[in-house]
Amino acid sequence: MSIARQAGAPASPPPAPGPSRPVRRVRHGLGGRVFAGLATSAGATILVILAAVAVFLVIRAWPALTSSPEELADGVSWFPEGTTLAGFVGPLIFGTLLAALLALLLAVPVAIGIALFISHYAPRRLASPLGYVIDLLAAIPSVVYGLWGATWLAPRLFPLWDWLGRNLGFVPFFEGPASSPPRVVMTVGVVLAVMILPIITAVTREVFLQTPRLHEEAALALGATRWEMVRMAVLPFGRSGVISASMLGLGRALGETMAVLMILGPGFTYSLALLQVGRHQTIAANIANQFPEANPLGVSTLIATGLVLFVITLAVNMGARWVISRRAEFSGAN
Amino acid sequence: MRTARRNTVAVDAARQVTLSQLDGSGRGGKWKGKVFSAVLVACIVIAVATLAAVLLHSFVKGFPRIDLNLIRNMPSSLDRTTSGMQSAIFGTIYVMVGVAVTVVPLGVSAAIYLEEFADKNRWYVRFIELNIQNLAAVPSIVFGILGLAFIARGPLSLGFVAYAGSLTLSLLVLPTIILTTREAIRAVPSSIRQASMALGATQWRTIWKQVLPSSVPGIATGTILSLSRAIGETAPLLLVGATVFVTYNPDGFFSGAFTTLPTQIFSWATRPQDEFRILAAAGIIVLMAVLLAMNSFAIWIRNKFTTEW
Repeated sequence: MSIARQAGAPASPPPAPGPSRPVRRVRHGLGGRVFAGLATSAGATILVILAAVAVFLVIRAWPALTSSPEELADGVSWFPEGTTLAGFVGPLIFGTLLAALLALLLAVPVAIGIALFISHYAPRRLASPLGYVIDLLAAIPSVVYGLWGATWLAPRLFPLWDWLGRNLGFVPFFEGPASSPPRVVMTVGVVLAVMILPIITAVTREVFLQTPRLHEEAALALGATRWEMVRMAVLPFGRSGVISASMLGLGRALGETMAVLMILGPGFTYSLALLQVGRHQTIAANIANQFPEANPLGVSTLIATGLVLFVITLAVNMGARWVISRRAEFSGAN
Repeated sequence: MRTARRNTVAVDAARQVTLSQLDGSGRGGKWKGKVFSAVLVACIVIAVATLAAVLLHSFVKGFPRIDLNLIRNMPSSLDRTTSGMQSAIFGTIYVMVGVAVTVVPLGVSAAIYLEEFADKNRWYVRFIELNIQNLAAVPSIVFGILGLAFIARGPLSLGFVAYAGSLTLSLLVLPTIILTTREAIRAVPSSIRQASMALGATQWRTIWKQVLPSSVPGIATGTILSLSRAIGETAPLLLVGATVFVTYNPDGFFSGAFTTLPTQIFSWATRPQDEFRILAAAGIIVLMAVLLAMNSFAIWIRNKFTTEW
């Protein structure tokens, strides 16, 4: 099974036609009832877990949600003076979205390129090993990416960031001077892009492979070159698939903890300066950073931020699913 | 509606192709095609080079410390050059056994329910299916919060023990194992079930004797992939107590502090001394070797034992 399916990607046709409806029950022995009961309660566990997560987050976040800013500032050592809870969470949401969107911006074009290459350009003998290699990127633990990003990648990216800061400094995003060592959100974006690359590639690859054969052959028969065929038949067909794949990748990037924790020099502002240290922090990294030493009210504050992250990722994934379901009328067009 | 839409796409494409042939941009198309192929190859090269850089970086840096001390000794901040990670290796084994014991029965039963018993037209069945996807989308750090405040402390109060980590990671990989198992069960053709029932077997005997044995390779693949996801998770374990500096192996699943490979790597990586960075890289080599072995094993099982009906 590919990682595309694990992430809830649009289904390619199943390997063998299974029963569309369960086979009718014939006899109920005691064993049969016990077995059915066990299986059913396992199914219900899913609902219980998800409901438990949501309810639990709200209950534990409640003390922080109902405390006044003064109580929070007194009770929580790292809580900034003179802000409300919303004023504290706001920059964190901004930082989370900024890092994730940056990663998406870098990863999507490369992912589309790889997916197209594997699905339509590579010789068949090369295609499936390449698929495995890209999937391998998804198997690497995030702590490995974190260490690699902080010790190997960051120093090598610095000259580029420095150049950007010096020559394109008039653009708010590249406002210089670039910090050194570059524990900045731009570096984090690059590492996150590598981490979400496999999932986006896998999903877009599946969708590109579903392009109706007839469309492709029709384009080629009319004299289109391969690139024209891709532009006119494959890309229009795969557009919604690319969108939903990007949103799944976005969901991953939003919740990523370790790489951000190990690379980013944290700060709590709404700054757009991607090359400067101490301006941004993400919700997930902030939780991992503060949780072990937090007192009860601090834990409650962090859980409140966790609730926000939970809602954002849920919304993004629902959106991705919605795009896929709208696409359902397209699939099977061949 | 569907046909209409399909036709529009096809007709549009045909028209564009014909036009490009007629107005002489065909030659330009060839040139553009070359550039496009080059860009695609560049994308692949970027990805493969990144993968190589990630793997080689750790390998080159950590290779000098791949020795027996790594397995024989406990973590130590005094003898940096001989410090090992035995407690992390044992901790990882304990946590993974806990995950496997928890998640395989639960995930497989849930998959059996969804494929064999559930009526897919009922709203609550669709709701469960929707929520499996949602569960897969929850960030791991949120499970970490849940693990700390619900499993390690709070209602379950297991304490900071290996099984608290196992339970937290089980929640994380549950959707993976359910999805793979469902796929394996779905691949068993209905003629097998009908044949079994025609011979007088009850439904649960049919599932137990026919469906499950046929889907074992798929379930095994899913289990290995889930475990390989769980083995590299760090963030949730940081919250359920695996951060502490542990110099002894866990006493058991329910007592004694524990640490795991990824959390140990993290704690070494954040120290300033270079010896610890090297140690972290050596830990990564061990972790990646285990991961690659697990993934290749999964692919091998899938290719070798999958039945073509």
